[in-house]
Amino acid sequence: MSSPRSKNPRSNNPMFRRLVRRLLFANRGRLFVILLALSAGAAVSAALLNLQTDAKHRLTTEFRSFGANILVLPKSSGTSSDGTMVAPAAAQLAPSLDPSLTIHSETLLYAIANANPAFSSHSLPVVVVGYSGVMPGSAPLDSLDPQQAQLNSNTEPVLCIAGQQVAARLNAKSRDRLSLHNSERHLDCALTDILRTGDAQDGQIFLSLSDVQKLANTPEKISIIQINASGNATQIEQYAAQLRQKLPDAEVRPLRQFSEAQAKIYSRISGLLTASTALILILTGLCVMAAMTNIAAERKHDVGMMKAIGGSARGILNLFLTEAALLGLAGGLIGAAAGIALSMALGKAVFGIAAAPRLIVYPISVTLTVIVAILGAYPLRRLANVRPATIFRGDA
Amino acid sequence: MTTQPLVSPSVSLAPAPQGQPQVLLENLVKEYGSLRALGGVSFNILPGEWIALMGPSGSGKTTLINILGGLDTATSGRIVVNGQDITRLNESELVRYRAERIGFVFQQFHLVPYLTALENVMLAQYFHSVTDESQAVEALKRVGLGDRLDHLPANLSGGEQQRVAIARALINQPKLILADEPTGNLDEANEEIVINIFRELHKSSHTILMVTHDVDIARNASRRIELTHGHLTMDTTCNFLEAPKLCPHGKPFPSSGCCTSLDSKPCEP
Repeated sequence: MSSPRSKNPRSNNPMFRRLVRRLLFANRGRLFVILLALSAGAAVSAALLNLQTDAKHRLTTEFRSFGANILVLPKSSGTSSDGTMVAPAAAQLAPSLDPSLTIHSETLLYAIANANPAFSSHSLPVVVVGYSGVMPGSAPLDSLDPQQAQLNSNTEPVLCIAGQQVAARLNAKSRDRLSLHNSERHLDCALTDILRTGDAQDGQIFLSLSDVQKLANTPEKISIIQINASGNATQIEQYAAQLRQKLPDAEVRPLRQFSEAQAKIYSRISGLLTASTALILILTGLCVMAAMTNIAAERKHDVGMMKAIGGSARGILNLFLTEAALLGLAGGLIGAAAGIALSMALGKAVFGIAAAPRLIVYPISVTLTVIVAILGAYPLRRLANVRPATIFRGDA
Repeated sequence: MTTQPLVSPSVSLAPAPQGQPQVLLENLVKEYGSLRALGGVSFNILPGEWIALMGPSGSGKTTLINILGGLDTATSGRIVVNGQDITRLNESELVRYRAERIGFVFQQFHLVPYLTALENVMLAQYFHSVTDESQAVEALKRVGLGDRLDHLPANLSGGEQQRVAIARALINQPKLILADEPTGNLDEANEEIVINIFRELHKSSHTILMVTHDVDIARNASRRIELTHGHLTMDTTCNFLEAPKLCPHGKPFPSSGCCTSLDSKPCEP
């Protein structure tokens, strides 16, 4: 009838694809149900994984902006009795043990001064803060253009920012000029902005560190260094120990409660999201398994026949597992994309900020869905072991 | 129905079976728990023979054909096919044996419902070695289904489905065709078509072992074997192309019209 064909597995690829396509579309209703289950599972697991990844990112970046996690203060038993200490060199603050640690430091000097608006004799005692860093919600003091103040003065004023409360008490507004007095020293400053923070800063006036040092006649002195170190609790503790060695006259105080709370929050969120993801994937696998059990019952005779005409268990299993993997891939690709979009909405609802799409989540979710689909095809794998004679006799 | 001949037109008669046995069964026993389906069956099959395997239901016919086809295993005994003892083959060797040596035709057709007629034939090629669509198309044309290539089994009649199954069984040029009541589910017209195909196959020297309950169909075979309760009770040889020979007492051989009885009680008085 025909000449014998030689064994060449590569030439069988078109038929393999043809068979898999037929298997996939043998029952479109069931195909839709399985795809729906896999897509839903992939969507929820991708959403949770994206939230988990995003939460970690947020906790290590955005929480850091809440403030310092290490304070460097003058020792209370130290030589200075005015609550100040000599400013350390920048090199002394550098994290020498762990170069991966990123730090941001702000140096402050507090002083008391009498303040009054220009052309007014009504003065009030206020806290002036010499600030070396960036004020919350404002540009760095050093970077402001003096022309912004549009001053009506013969002398060049320094720049300052006033808290909302103190500005109200002095009846001062942006671009006004303030006079500050401390003992015999005097300083004029141009008010560049009114600060509203809702805390103690609203009652303070902020100038550059060097200006306050001049006003208070405490050159080179500072009151506190606020350091924000990015890292876990152990890294921060190690860095604090390093600072204690380098700054023996200062008290280095890690704000442990914040670091530990940060770790605990992330740990709890991460655990919850991981458990939820696992649960969702297990449920998805069970759904797929239920559908595959139905398919296995339908294909029992087909498998018996395939084995009767020379199909090997492995060859038949390859067809079924490829079918399952393709279903998982399609469900994963659709579901994971939907899930990442879902996580952005969930992030908005939970954190008030839309979760950023983390690209690593997409391949992970798709891979997990493919694995779930293959594992869910377990009933089909059992089919490969059936004996044709048993099937044809109707005993199985 | 118009079918092309399955064999070369120059071959008009079945060659007389001769030479070494193609199949040798020795004391074949099959037990299902306490039930003995085959109780020590022995016979040979010569190349080119068409054997009608007969007997009442439960006599072990399908069990015998399943074991011979490598679908089931014997409890004891030996089956040698083309010099190879298939009772000693492991699972993967049995898979190759089924793919390369055996062509199955079932009463229930056993076509894959979501594959077209053409794909059902190509499926056997796929498991055997590589697919060749043109050969599969040719095979279907030869059984008169050239215009049904893309039909799903649900859209084919019983006779057409059985012809697809025959094309599938023959596509890999098997040495032995095992047919389990191939006309059992067919009407008279389709039965005739299918039997004609088997006649063609027999003419082209295919070895056929066909389970049947139908004496008329068995008459087409060159040899008839009967099983009763798992035992061989009759083994006769005949040539359906010749007129029935009479037994010595002048009566034809019961039912079959065959001429020579190989067992000890061939003729009725």
